[in-house]
Amino acid sequence: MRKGLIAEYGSPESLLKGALAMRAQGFTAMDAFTPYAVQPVMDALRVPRSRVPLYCLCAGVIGGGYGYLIQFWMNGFDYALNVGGRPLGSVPAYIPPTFEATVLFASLMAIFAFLGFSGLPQIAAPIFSVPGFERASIDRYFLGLESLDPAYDPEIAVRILRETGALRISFLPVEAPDDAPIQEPA
Amino acid sequence: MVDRIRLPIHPDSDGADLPARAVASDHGHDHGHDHGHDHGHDHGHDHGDFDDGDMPSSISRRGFLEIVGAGLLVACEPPRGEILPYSRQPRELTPGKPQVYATSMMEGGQAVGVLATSWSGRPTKLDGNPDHPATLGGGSSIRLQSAIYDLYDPTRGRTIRHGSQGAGWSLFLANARGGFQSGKGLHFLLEPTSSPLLIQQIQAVRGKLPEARFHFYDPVAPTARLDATRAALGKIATPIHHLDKAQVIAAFDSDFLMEPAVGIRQARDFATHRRVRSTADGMSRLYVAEGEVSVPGAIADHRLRARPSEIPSLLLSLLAEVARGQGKLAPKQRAAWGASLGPLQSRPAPPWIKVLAGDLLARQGSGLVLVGPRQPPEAHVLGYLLNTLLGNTTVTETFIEPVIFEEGMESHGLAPLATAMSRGEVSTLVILGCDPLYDAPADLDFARLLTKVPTSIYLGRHENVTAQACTWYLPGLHFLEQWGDGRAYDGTLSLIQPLIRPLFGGHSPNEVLAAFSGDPAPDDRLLLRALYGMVPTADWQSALQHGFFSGSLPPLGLEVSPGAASKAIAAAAAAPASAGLEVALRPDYKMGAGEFGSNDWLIELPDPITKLSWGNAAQMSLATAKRLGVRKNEIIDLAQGGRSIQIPVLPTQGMADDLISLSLGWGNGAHPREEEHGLFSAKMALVGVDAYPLRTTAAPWFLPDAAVAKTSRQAFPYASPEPVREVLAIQQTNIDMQDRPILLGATLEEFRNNPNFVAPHNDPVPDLYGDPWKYTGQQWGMGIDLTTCIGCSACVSACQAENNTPTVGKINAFKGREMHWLRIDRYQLGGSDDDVRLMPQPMMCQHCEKAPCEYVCPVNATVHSPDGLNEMVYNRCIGTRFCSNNCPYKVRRFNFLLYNDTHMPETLKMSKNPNVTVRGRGVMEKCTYCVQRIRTAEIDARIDQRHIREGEVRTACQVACPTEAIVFGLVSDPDSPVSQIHGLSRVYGVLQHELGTEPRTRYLAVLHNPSPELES
Amino acid sequence: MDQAEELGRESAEYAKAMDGPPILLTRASEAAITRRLLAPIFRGGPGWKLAFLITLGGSTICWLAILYTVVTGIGTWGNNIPVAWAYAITNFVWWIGIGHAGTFISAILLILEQSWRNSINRFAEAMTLFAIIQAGIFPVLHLGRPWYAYWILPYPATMRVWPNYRSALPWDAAAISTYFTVSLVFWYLGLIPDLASARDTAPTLTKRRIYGIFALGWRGSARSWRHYQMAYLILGALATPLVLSVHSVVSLDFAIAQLPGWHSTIFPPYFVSGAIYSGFAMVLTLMIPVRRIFKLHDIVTVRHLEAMGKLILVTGSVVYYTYVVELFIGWYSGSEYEIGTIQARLFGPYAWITWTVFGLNFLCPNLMWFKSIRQGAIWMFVVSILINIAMWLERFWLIVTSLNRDFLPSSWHIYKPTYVDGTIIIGTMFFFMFLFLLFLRFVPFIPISETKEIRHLLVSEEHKRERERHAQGIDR
Repeated sequence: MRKGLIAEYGSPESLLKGALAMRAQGFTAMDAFTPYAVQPVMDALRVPRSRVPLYCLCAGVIGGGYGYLIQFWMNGFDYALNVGGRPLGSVPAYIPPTFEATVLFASLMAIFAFLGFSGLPQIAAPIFSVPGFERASIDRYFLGLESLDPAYDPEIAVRILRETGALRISFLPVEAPDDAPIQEPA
Repeated sequence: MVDRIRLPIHPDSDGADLPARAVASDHGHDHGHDHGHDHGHDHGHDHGDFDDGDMPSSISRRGFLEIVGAGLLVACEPPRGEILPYSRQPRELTPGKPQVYATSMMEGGQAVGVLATSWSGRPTKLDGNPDHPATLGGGSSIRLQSAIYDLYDPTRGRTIRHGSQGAGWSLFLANARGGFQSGKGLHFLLEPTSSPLLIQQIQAVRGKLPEARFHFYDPVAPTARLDATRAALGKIATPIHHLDKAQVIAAFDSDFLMEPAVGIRQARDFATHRRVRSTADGMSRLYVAEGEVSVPGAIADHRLRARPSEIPSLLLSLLAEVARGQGKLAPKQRAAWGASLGPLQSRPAPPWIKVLAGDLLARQGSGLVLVGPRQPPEAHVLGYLLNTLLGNTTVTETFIEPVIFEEGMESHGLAPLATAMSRGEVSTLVILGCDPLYDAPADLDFARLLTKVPTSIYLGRHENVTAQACTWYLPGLHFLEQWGDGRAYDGTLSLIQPLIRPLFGGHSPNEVLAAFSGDPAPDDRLLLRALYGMVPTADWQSALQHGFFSGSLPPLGLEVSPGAASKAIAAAAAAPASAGLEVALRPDYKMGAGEFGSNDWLIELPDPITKLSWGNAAQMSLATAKRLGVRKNEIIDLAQGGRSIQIPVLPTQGMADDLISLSLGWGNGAHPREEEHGLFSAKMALVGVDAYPLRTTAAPWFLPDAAVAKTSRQAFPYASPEPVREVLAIQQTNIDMQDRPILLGATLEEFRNNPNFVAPHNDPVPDLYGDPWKYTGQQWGMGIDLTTCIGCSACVSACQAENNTPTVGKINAFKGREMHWLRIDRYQLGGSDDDVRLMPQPMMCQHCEKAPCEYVCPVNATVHSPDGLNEMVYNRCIGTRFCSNNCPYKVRRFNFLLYNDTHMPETLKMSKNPNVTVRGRGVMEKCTYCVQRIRTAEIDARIDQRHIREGEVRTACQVACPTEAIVFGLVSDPDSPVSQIHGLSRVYGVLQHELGTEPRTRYLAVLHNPSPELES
Repeated sequence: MDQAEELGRESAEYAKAMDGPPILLTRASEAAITRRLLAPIFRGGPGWKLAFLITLGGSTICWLAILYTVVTGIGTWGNNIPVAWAYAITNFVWWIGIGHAGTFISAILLILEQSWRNSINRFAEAMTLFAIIQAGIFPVLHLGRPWYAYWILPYPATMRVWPNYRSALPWDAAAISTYFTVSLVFWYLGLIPDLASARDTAPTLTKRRIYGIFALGWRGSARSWRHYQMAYLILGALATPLVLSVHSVVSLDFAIAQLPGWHSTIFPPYFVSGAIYSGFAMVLTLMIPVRRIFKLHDIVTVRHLEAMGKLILVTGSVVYYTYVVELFIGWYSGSEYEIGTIQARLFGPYAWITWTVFGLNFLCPNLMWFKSIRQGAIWMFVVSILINIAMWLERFWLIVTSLNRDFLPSSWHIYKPTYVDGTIIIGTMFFFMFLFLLFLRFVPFIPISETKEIRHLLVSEEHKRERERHAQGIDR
């Protein structure tokens, strides 16, 4: 996310609380940043289920088909020889490589699909400039509110987040070089 | 450094009266051209690490051609005769096609017919001359096949030496001519010869220098046999054996199938009555009584273990048995001999002899008693007597004038020369060919005697121990480099014509002798032509083309004199049964008496019986080994009569007890070999052990009362002495067939009762895939008759020569990395250690139609050809060796190291067959059915637009087989011999019943013809 | 309170985690755990240097021996005809076998939701990768012409020749390369969150940058976590059959041959179980010292030893069961060749190996019946070493005893290894250790985020129970 508001929590529970509260307020465009996967939070944020499996399935099917056909073509047509008196299409013999090809294609698709869907690699992201965000991979739990959200309203958000125990709230993009906590409007 | 060889330009002069010469003269030019050309054309050329391998590494091809082109530049002396430019190409020479010339090879002074195949001036293959009586049908022996290596042997002597510095031929001629007024003190030592040319020259020298003395020495000459003929027949004669007429053969210590000069013919004749096709066919019966296991003994129908010293008494018992059954003898014989045989009748005889006598008596006139050349004269006399009694003389045994010059006379043997030398009467000793320092009887101490001779001249192919002790050394010639003649065993006059200009200069004995008889510029070709001057050119040419003048010596009508007979009987009866440990010396199958000592092919060839390569050993029966408490590989001190040698032990099945057998010809100091190649070092060692130190003039063959002591060394770190061990490179470590149906056999009776006794082993094996491939058109196959195969190993050598098979050295051979595409397995058939039968089974790629090796190759490097060959694609092979693992016959060979060294001497490169790829390191190889010959025939057939003719393709092993046990041809043609063999009831495929490999090579189950009485 | 319900469903997993010896003892703060688990990769020391030098030296000798072999030819080894395969293939099978534990732990235990895997899977996967690297040396090196090894791959050669897929060796090439790739991907995917932690705690800018690059900018957003979990699960699901297939294919190298003693349908399960058996042994051999050195007893607990002990018991039992079946079937086949091979194995020149293998591979698994041994680190270490030796011998025995005596007695020949053979196998062990040390030094070798997840699970559950007990106390 490029523009919006980031709230920092000390525990997944409070993060979850915050997420639920914002959702109750009608916020939808939210994301959480946690050191490890927190299932309830994902559910609370209504993160759609991943389409990685579908891609893997296709890749696997393609890989398997390719694996079998290439063998059949190589040993049956393009370089057709009498090898040990065995038929050109010695089907049983072609099974193991076919299997391996299936697995290989599917696995590679798995990681590439994952990277693609989650927009990685992205070595430098705006959110890294959020003060204290480096602890997102250690022991802090962040809730991000997209400013694109039609229901986005900093005041309400800040209040509610404070209530739910946010330790610190910062805005994206970060203007001030010094990352002092934002003063709430009077 | 042995390369930088002089290139062969042929001794040649006037016109084209000798086609061979006219052709040969161009080889010089052609050679370089072809050397590159052929290899360029090699199918399956290794583009990995071998391109730089088969062209001379140090000469660029261009440079090579230049050298070749200008013969004058390279010959160490001006070429004899002009060199014909290549433009005048003789009609019979087509580049890339080999020529075949007939010539002869000398074995023990007797000629053996040879056909030499020459690739544009490089002879690469020798085979028997099919028309020559000694090699009738074209069979050959291991020595004939391997002799080609001696030509290219890089260790051959190269330069004339006088004292310590090099000298020239002319200088020698000068010395040779001057200085001997009457020839006093001038002694010549030659190998026994039958060469009319040499004989004429000897006479000439004798005429010019009356006091010059000639001596002939061959350590393994059959002197006893000659003495016997002199004693029994009243004149020296050579017995000729006609085994093709013999139905019952009794061999007493006789290795008649491997005998030099006659073995090939005798094997062929022997096979005529062993070739059983239908149940109606008969079969001869072979009895062998011997101490060591010989080639005939291993396959005999009946074998009796007897120490060589017991043979005479066995013969005597046989005679006694015959005497008892003299009722059956021909009236004439009974009349002539009845009286003198009377006293013998009381002598008892073992059952084996009884049965043998019965057979011989039943088959008078078609039996044959053979007595080995090592036996004492009386034994031979008894043999002659038996053959006379049984009416075999004039049928299966005849006598002719000796073909060897002055054979059996005082000029033969070293004794007179030795006495002369010890008296200091010898001022000049000219040694032509033999190697007395190595093979003279130990009691003569020839080395010391030689020091008393001021001038000693040695002519030989190697600068061996004798040469080193002589003041002059002249490089000798290989028979493929010289002109000459000689007589075959039956007197047939054979010609020696060269195929190549002497590789290292060198001169023939004829030239040296001519020099002494005052010839200013001796040239063996002119000498020969002069000798045969009276022969019309046409006859001369046809003789050269056929290799011999047909016509053998007539048999002499000789009778055994009763006096000699009774004397022999008395002698045999009186002979004391030798007690204690007996040592028997014998010429080695491979090294002979030592003349093949530097022939790597023969050194590495497994012994036909023991499969021992790279050395010899003290063979003894298992019982004797146990009794002496020695084990295999253990080195013992073998002492007899104050002399002793150290030699490793090799227990051997089927030997007589209390007998140690040593083969001569090994451990020649002139020929050390690289034994172990470490990371940073290479250890040179002698090959085998020299057994001559035990040999004396008195007892040349059998030494009684030998003593065996274990040698031992203080083993570190233990204090206790451990036995010293040697590695014996035995290439077949197990002869027990484990009751597996691999070499199937039966007796003649069993076969007649059940002709299909192999049927259970031909069952088809169900296959998941069925038979997807139909083999149509030309289909090749092989049939091997195990009954006629005698296991002489000629095929193995032939395969090596034809297919550029490298030798691997002792340690690799010991590790089991030998490269022979064709091996001869020996299996123990007929159980007991006593009557052991070691049957040979040639084993090479079986060219399975469902080849297990093919489907496991990851890169399709071994695949099947449409004509049924299992093809090996060297280029494609990456060396996983999976094919070898999956080959149930284990006939695949792997280049674990760079055995075909890319830096091998130029001469060895010349010895390679240009039609066969020289394999590099890391590729698998195996028998190809001589695919190069098949393809050549196909090309010829295509050019003439015809089908391949029957017999047009013959594999190297098939050609070499003296008994025609190997038959190759088109299995697709129902009339071809191979198809007929495949159609017989006795034919089976090895392991077919188990694995369903459908091999194209099928075997005819071995048959034996034992006597019913002994079987029970 | 509402979030309490939301998190409540974890109590089942808690029970699983805590039954028997707990899978995690520490309750330190997440920050503390992170710092502790990342400490080794930021702090070197003389110990490291020494270990590196030793293993590097060993690897160098290995490479020299390999160089000598490639230059001179495999004639420097003891191989011959008939024993055309020996040490090289033995080592290959052994290393590949070892390489099975890692992915087994990561994949199969993931599918089976065995949360104890979390503390050791990283480690086991790394071991897998390095073992495959060692294994990969041999199929190439044992070739007569190693420089043409690539001919086994289906690439469009100018001569239009192709590999032969009826042979098991191209299957091997496919299986091993796939297995390596998938294992690598799997390992790396698991690493990403921890690399992010490493990035965020790195002491110096360089390290921060390096780890940052490898972390691919991981921010731990909920969406990424969702895809991440799915991808990880799928990789696990794919790797599960893959693990089983790889050693099955390796076993086919032997089973498709018709050699007595090789030609057997039981080989795939036999090899796979043997592989996992030896793999776990190697995991223990490596894990027990590491656990001691880095004092990880509260993260790698007795529970892990226990679990692996039980797996060794299972797989080991399959292995020696197969020995019995092999003997029986061989005899039952009635083929003189099969029976001959059995006799050769039991009483032939290599009988001592047979009996050692049978003995050790029967003893070691059955020791695992005893809790005291299963839970004793020292015991497990000793046993694991014995298993490694036994399994190497087993592969050697399997390959050589079949080859040196096959159908034709005339071709029987004994096999003796050379010093080069020995140097190479020892050398690869050094090389393996070298790679493993690099891994320990530069990669978080205990999965941090998973550990924290477990820890959070346990802590929150314990708090909840605490609160409940409190509530009841107050009521009373």
